[in-house]
Amino acid sequence: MIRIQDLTFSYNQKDLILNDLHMTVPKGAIYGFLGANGAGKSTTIRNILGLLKPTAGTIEVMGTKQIKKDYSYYSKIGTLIEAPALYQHLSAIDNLKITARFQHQDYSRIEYVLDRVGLAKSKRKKVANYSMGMKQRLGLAIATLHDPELLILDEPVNGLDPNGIRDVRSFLKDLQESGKTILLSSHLLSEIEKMASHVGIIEQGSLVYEGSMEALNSERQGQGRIRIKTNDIQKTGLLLQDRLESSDESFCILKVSDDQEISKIISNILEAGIDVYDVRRIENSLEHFFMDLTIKKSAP
Amino acid sequence: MRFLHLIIAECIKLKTTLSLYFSLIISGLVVLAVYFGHTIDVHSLASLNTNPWTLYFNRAHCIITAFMIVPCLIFLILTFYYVEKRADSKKLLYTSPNHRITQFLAKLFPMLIMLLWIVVSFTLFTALSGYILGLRFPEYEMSFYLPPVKDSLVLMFHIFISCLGILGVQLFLHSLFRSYLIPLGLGFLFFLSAFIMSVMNMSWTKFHPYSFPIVVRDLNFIASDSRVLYADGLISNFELSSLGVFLIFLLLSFYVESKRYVH
Repeated sequence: MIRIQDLTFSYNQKDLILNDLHMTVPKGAIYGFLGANGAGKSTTIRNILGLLKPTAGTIEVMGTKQIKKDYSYYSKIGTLIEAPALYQHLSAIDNLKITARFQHQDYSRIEYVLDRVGLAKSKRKKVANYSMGMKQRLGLAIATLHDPELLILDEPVNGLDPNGIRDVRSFLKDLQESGKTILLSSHLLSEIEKMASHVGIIEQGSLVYEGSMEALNSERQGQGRIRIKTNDIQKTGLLLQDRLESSDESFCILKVSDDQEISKIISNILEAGIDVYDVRRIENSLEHFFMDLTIKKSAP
Repeated sequence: MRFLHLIIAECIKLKTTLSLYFSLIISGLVVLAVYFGHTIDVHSLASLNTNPWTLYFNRAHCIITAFMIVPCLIFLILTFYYVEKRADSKKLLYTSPNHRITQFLAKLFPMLIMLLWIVVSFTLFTALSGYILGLRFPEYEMSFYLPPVKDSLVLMFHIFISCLGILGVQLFLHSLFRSYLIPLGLGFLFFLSAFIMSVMNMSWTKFHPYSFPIVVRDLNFIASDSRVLYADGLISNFELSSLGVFLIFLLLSFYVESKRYVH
């Protein structure tokens, strides 16, 4: 659905915001686009949508490389870029009517999308009086009003309470089930973990990981860690220096690749005359995976 | 049909905005000021065998062209852009299936309609207030003469054309600058300089688009003997210049809008 090759972008020809970025968003996927603040997520999205001009590289969206010139493609794309663009002096209904007119649609889907994002009761209230979460929901309603094939959502759960996040998650899952493709940028790893079918991790303007959620999960499992408590933490740390991730007064965190390795580590510790009090496997979360990748990239 | 959709969208945006109310009442407010001015100094209207309406309309035209129409236009355009800037709407509008120039023209359309309403309603309100004045002060024989509504409409049409240059420049400034305060400030600076230049009868006045409404009013002055000095239906060189400025700045605005990137 989206294919990016060698995308480079810079505002001043000196500092590269995006550097040879490659990215592929498959049709029908919820693509979780992860990255720290300032990693280049929003800039990538703006480049995809033709709001910024790439310094180099190609971007293909739904088969066209000329999205800015062939603007009819925008009728197939729904967008929510950071804070939603809303006319504060108008109600939710009027904001949606404007979008409907800009998309050359009638008003028939307005009630449906308002109901879907949970704003049916406050549809006549001025947007200026909305909370941040309500504005975000309205932004989602605007993005989905014309039933687009591709949704590009930049931080869509910003400002939402846990119930709101759950509603958005279920809404996006439903959209995916109906065949829509969703590019979802966020720095909330747990949300991406729950929603996405594919993941791309961006750091310093380059994609450091891209793959399906299953592939990522199996990769994560191959990068296990254990927390071990012994009678001499310092000595344990020195003994297993090559595997040591961190340590404090009570525990050592060690990297392990499989279960046999855990048994080998314990034998080594015991052979060195150190008593082992406790060994626990630490679930390798997406957060750790993300941190590992981004630290590797940041390291000189 | 697609263009009509965009115009409808622009009209929805105007709901409850200052520009809408502003354009609806501004002519009424100017006329109200003219009316109350005459209730204080009504004797100046009366002179033998002259149509009191002519003087009444001339004073009204003088106030609107010298003081009101240009600031009014600057504010009118400002409110259109203020709504967009407050909504940070470029990222929404530029990802809609419409050419940017079409969007720009769709926004221009209600602006022109509002400006047209201001100039037309001004004549109607002036005539209405003149009749009320005549009822209050029958001795000045306003009811014995007919108001020069047609001449006034012709003059206001010329003023409408002379305002297009200002409209073009202001649109360009709003396209060029992200902040709405810079076009506002520059607009008022141009207006003040044009006003000073025209008061001082400086020769450069005729090259300053913001002074065109004042110059055009002078050209189309409705004479005290009800003879319109320059209103033969053709447009003057100043109006032609205004149209030229409008078209040039419109093209520049198109260029800026089509090349604009949204950071």
